[in-house]
Amino acid sequence: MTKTMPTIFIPTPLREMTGGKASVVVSASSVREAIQSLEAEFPGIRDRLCEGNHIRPNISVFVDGQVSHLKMREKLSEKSEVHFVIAISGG
Amino acid sequence: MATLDKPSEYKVIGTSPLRHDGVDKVTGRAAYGADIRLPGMLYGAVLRSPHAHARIISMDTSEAEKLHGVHAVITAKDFPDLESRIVELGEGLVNRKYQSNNILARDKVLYFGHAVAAVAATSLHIAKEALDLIRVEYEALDPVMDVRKAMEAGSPILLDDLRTDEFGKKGETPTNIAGHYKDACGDIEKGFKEAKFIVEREFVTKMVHQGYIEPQNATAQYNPDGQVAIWCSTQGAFGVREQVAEILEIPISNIRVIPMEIGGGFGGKIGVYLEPLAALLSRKSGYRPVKLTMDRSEVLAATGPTSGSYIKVKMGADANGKITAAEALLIYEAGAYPGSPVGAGMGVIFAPYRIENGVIEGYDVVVNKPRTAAYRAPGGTNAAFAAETVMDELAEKLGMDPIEFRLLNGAQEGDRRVDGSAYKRIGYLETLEAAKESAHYKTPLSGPHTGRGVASGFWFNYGGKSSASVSVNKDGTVSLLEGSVDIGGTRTSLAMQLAETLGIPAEDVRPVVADTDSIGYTEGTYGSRTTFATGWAVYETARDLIEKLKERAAILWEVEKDKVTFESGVFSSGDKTLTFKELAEKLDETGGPVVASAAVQPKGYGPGFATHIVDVEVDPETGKVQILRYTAVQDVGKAIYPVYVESQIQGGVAQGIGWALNEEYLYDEQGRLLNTSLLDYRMPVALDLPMIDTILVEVANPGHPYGVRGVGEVPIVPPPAAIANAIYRAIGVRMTELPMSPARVVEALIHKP
Repeated sequence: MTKTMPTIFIPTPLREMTGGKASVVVSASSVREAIQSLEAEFPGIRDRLCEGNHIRPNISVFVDGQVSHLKMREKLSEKSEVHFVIAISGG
Repeated sequence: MATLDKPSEYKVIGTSPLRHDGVDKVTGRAAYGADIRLPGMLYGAVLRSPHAHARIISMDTSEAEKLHGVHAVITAKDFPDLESRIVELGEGLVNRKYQSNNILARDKVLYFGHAVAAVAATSLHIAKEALDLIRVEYEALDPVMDVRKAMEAGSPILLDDLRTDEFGKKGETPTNIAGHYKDACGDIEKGFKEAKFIVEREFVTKMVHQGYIEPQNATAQYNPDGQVAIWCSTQGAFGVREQVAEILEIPISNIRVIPMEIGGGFGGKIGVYLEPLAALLSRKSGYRPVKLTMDRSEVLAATGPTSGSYIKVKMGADANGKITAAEALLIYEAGAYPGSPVGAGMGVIFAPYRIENGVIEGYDVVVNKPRTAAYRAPGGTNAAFAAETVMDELAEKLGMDPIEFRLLNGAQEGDRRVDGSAYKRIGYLETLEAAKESAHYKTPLSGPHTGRGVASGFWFNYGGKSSASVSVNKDGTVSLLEGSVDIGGTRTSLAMQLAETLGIPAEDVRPVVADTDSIGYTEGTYGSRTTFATGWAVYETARDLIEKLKERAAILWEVEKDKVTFESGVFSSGDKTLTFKELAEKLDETGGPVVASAAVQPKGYGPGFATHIVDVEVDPETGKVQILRYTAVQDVGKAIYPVYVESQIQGGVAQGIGWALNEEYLYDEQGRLLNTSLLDYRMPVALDLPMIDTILVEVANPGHPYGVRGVGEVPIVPPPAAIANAIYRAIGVRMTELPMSPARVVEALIHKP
């Protein structure tokens, strides 16, 4: 089966783990698979993004510019862009 | 979802129907939390710390408990001793241990006014008398009031268990730095090398309060069966339910929260303060209802102000005016517990511009001040004050008009932010064009010591979870139940979207804000989300209702449902037609009542942009700044109720002007708050402000059925920067500290080069 190849943007503090790469194209059809792919290439990066099987609570996942409520379960397409950003709140 | 792109075809949206809650509000009949009276009700009061930083050595409540009329005294020992854990509550994150300790201090007090005990008695006077009988022995500690001092090695530590979080990596030693964040793009050194002009400045802003007129209040009735009902002033009833459940470790199904009318929140009524106290006092006093209300001094001393901050901005532009590099350092006061809006400030600071080479760094730092809470575009106003002032100075060095400079560098669809994400359809450039073409900008300003300033602003906006349900009445009206507390006329903006979809007048909708047992989960009224997300729930509910009513019309006409069509409030099949009202009258003949509901968590919210123009006159003798004229231009998506949208903008600007010119928390050297009344904490009043003109730029949001964008938050972002830029034009000094009070303006004039 052909895997989709979304682009994962690496948060600036984690670029020390990716050799300075700001974005990485991975083979993944969900955010969970994307993080697995990142971990395979850059060991230890998963622990910075996740607590157990969940995205850390203070980190928001944005897929194509929209906050993902499904987080790890969010499906990705070929052109998807994934960002991990510090969670913010509004008044 | 395609936006309906023929606004002229709307029959309800864009009009100004009578506000559904208007009569109740103007006649004083609307019920607020302080209006609650229950049989056998007790009155509560809270004992607060006189110290900004102290260890609690001992607490003796025995004399208070003996006072006649006192039914319960509680301290932190009555609360579960919670472990540190971050809990997601809709849009906000709460560490339940810190939240609990903020409500009643356990072993340390961390700010002046920090609650340490609470009493319930037969009258408020007895409750307050009992507070005087509680003996608390403190070991006073040195307070830490400034973020930069709090970050220094050797500074007193507020929270022994706090470690710096750096995107999932925890520090190893105790610290006051809760979080350190960074975004970067391009090559910042290369960017500055390409610049012909570089401006670098430092900015300081002070802690300010949301300034809602209605103080916090909560009444609780705990029952022996474990069920508890809470009436309170909140922006989100479901959030109160979750927080109380977490803090008291009781099931959410045991808690019913009834949101009362709310006299302002602006972000400050998302977190709970009194609700768990009222619940515990009710339980401990033999299940009698207990009411707690704050006075203004408690509101100012102990409820959610927003962060003061230190910000450094450096920006460069080439000879053609193109921004080549932008760098920012933001250090925000979190107050006593982590959670400042520095992340949002980082997201706002360069958001309006195309930045190819950028670095943004942020720190969340605890200090001995009240725990901060959200305040209308949290963190955004501080950030924009810094960046937009530097933008103005760059424009001046380039010899460019400040709007033209922004037009040259303004972000549009496809441009990437410093954090890497790309914009979809946005309307920033349209706000600049509208500002440039406005009567205000085209009218020359003259007179001594007058000046005109311009600044722009950004806010993310938000979607979130919302529910709605409707039932059709026999007279053709529709009852609408929704879970969004009405702040700023959302009953009507939601009713209008329902009415538009159903093809009926807005007056035929009866909107009701329901309690947590009566409607599906709905996040709070925050994040500029209600008209967008709950509006979407209402829209989906209406579509569901239309399908159900088509079935009823099909029964009446004895045809298949797919032979029935619906348009503009009329059901048709062949030559047969029924208006919505006519069909409603016949529901009993076709199977009885019809109800519909929907729950949504929509994406598609679009960010908001604004550009503000302000004229000021400065009195060089006294330093007083008079606002002569103000125009706020904003991309509002589609304005459902334009007058309310204008009011939201005017309200945001008024608060921004207060933040710019007068408002600040004043502390003495021991960390005691000096201005705990509205006489000393100076918010603007009508006499301080001119008419605030608005220009609504309607760039319909393609992510909403009616093109809605959030509008409530972005108008507070540009005012301080716009005013600072106007002051510079008036008297030739760059103001870099908020508020720009008369004393600071005079001081700046004295030191004018």
